[in-house]
Amino acid sequence: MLNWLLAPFTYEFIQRGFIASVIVGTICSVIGCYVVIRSMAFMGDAMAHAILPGVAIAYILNGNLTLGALIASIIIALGIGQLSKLGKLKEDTSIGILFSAFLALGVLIISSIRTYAVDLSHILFGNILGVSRNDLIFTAATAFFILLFIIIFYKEFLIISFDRVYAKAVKIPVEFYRNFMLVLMALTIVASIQTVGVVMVAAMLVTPAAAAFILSKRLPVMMGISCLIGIISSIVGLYISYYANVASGAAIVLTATTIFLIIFLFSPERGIVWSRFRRRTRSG
Amino acid sequence: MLKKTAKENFSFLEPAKLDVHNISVSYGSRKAIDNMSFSINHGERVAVIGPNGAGKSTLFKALIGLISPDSGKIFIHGQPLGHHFDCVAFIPQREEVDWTFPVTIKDVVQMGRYNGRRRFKRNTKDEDDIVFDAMVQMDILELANRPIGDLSGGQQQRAFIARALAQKPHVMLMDEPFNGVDVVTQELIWELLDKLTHDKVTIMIATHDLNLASQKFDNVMLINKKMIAFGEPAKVFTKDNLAAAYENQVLFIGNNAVADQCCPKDIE
Repeated sequence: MLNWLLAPFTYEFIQRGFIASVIVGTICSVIGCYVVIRSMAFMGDAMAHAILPGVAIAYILNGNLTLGALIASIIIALGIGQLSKLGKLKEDTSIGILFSAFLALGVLIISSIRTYAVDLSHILFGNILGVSRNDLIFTAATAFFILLFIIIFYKEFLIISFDRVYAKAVKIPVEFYRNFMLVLMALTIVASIQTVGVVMVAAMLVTPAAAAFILSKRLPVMMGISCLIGIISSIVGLYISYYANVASGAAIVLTATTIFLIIFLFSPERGIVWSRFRRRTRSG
Repeated sequence: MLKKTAKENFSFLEPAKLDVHNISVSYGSRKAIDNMSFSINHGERVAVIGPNGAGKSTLFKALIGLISPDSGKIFIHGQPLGHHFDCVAFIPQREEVDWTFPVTIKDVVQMGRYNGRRRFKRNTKDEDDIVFDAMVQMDILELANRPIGDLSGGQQQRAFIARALAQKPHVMLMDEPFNGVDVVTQELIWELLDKLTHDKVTIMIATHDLNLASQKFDNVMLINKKMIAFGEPAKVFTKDNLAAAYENQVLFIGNNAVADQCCPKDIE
């Protein structure tokens, strides 16, 4: 059994992959708590997909791909806010417009670069085995700053999320903190691309946090539980990926989904199964 | 405390603590408040009365600096609005809150002590005492660790009032605090109002209830976008004033007025 558990770690690149996905599982689940309680899941999805044209343009210009991804992701996040405000549109409409436009732009550019096909699949689905030493340092540093900011500005983020009116009344610059949070989301997404990819990162932002939401009554507790689920999903997912020889990002996301479903059905207070059961025994 | 904050620097005996000069507020082309002026003395208790869409909530939002008026000025303690950090507390209508949010009663009340300038210091004993006292005052101490979503409407309302109390306000604005709450909560709110009046806190309460306003308040303010009348209930609730405020929504039977209160909600 121990051999079975340790076998993957004989290779250094797998060790790096493991560490990277644990870090990504952590930051996605913490930021994800805000995504869930502020109903920003669609926003997260849009920001992840917006990375595509950013990476493609950076590739053409021979620039830094990560930087390209980050810029594109921040542009769409702030653009959505502006479009909603100036056009008096609901936010989900603005997201719908910009999301598909960015995606189309990405596909357009990439279809013109023939040699790009291989790298593209890495962006879409992640490539955990290709995590270099530098990648790992970048991911760890990003994660450190994300968590640091979440802790320092905990009160502000809590108050603007819970009660905007009150936040404005006590002179918290609500718009600033909203945009700040979007930038943290963009950083999280960019740091996660290497391990889970564009398509799956939105799931990692939502699923562990949603499961934690069912179990907890306070935000810090929710963040802790979410973190735990994110880390467990990453580790279990990677073992599945290693032994069943399947894509790592998909395995991680499906592990998180399974954990979510178990909690959704069997959580002691809000689980579907128990509340059905209780109702039946009460009426019977 | 070495540095005195602004709100400690003036005497409580100064008259005319809340002055509003000719403010107008509009949403797009729709005027919500039209050239309104009034002055409320320190420690007075005023009911703000008017039909739906009369601008009661808008007036409150202007007073806490949430909406900036198109024109006109607001002074609190003789200083322009925004000068004091946490002088005006506002209790929102219950509909404006996300009740599934993962916070406990205590978390909500603690928000009342928010202060951006004290980021890296732990809460002092005083701060904790203020939060504790506010919860005791509103009788929610036993509920401190319960999530807000688990509570009754009245208990939720009490949590928000406790948060406002924790702000140690000089002016307290309450938007329909008696809507959809139980008798216990209503009693607690009245007790609290008496205590606040004793402590010289200025109170403004928006309400639909004309009876309540005339029985329990020294002064009432009758508005419908414009100021219609402001003063003692007996002088304000005249046939002419009520007709001006409620237009066709008021019915006179002898000397009694019946206001129609079942119209659609404010679209603010």
